[in-house]
Amino acid sequence: MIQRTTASTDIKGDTPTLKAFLTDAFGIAKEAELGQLANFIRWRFQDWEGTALEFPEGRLQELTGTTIDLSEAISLYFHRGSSVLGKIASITDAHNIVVDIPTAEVSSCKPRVYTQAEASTVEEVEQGPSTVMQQELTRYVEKTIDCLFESATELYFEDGMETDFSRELISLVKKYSNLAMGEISYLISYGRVDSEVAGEALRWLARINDPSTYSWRLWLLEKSLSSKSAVVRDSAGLGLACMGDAHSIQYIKKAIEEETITELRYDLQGILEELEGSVDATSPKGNTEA
Amino acid sequence: MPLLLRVIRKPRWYKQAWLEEGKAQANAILDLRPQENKLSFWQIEDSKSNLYQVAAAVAAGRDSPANFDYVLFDQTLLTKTGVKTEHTVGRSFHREADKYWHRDTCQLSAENVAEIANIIMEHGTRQRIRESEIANLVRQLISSGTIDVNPLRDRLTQNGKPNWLESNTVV
Repeated sequence: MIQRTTASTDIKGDTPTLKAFLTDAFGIAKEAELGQLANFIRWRFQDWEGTALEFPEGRLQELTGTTIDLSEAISLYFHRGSSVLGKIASITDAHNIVVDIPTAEVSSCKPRVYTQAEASTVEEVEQGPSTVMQQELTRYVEKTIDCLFESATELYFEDGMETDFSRELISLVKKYSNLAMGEISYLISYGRVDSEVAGEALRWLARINDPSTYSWRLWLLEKSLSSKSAVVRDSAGLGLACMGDAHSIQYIKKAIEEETITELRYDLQGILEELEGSVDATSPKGNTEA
Repeated sequence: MPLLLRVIRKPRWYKQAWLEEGKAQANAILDLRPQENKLSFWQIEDSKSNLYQVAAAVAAGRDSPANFDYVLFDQTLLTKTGVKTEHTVGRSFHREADKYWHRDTCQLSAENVAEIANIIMEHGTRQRIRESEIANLVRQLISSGTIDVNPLRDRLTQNGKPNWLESNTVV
């Protein structure tokens, strides 16, 4: 039996990525962030350190960094030490993507779990080389982007001036497209990185001429208008002005309504006027070009 | 008395609820990075007649078009704190701006920098010129010959960057 679950994105929504809803051993509901890669889930249980997944063959798998088939996720239990924490109750996302969720009672297949060590073996590669390579690539891109953002905290940013960070960011997005955008979106939308760095990233993401990531970049910039950080909100507004997409108008209007910093509200108003003024005259700038 | 202009990033100067009125947040110091114990400013006439000339002169030196955030404040406020200001040659390729309007505050102590931050926070007018507007200004001054585009174009070419100074480009 397959359960279909959707979560629509509306501008008031605050659930930006795939989430797992869990019930612990005491019946208390919890939730955790997930990253999605095609039919696979990349677990992000940083706050659940020491927690392990139990698989049918009795093997425990540490959650952090684990990648698992989406269709199997629902059947797994969580452990910490000897106690069972709970299991996944449902998975939803906020991108309007329908997620097919098998219910626990029909999930009897052996789950496919790939770890760094396993994926490096010849046997594993022979069993599913493309899948294993994809997992390896995912891990590589995530790690590279994490390091890039971490190292950028030492940099000084000026408007309109490139840095090693901006050059590398553009290069990674152009090379790894949505794979890179997934990790960048995660770091920025969950506030995992320094605000100055996140803001700088948003400014440059808006400028990239890469149609394949256009929708994701636009979504991230619109989402970032509601960031807790004023630096990020300002950069998101500047980025959206640069992209010049009429789709952003409703998000900017909402951001203006909610903005508590007078100066920023004024600047957002200017961006709104600029966007509204250009809607009739032009199509979205730059990014949609080949 | 003339005004002084300093290029900033506006969010670094937002008022913070946890700070007393008129005090700058620590991140504001990122916009006041001294070189050889000096800070670079541009002098703007009371009438602000040279404001857009200076903004375009500075923006033309950038790798790509971007908004131009700046603060203006009364030059006499610096004099009152004992900070010395001297007329020096700018480095923007806008001949008039470089020759007449560039100022350095010199022999600065760390305390002076903090004082300047608080003066800017309390008395400064923070403004933003939009990216599209400043890019147009730069192109106008280039096409009129006011800004010498040759060294700027060469620098962009040498670094493999698109020439945004003379046409719309994307990265």
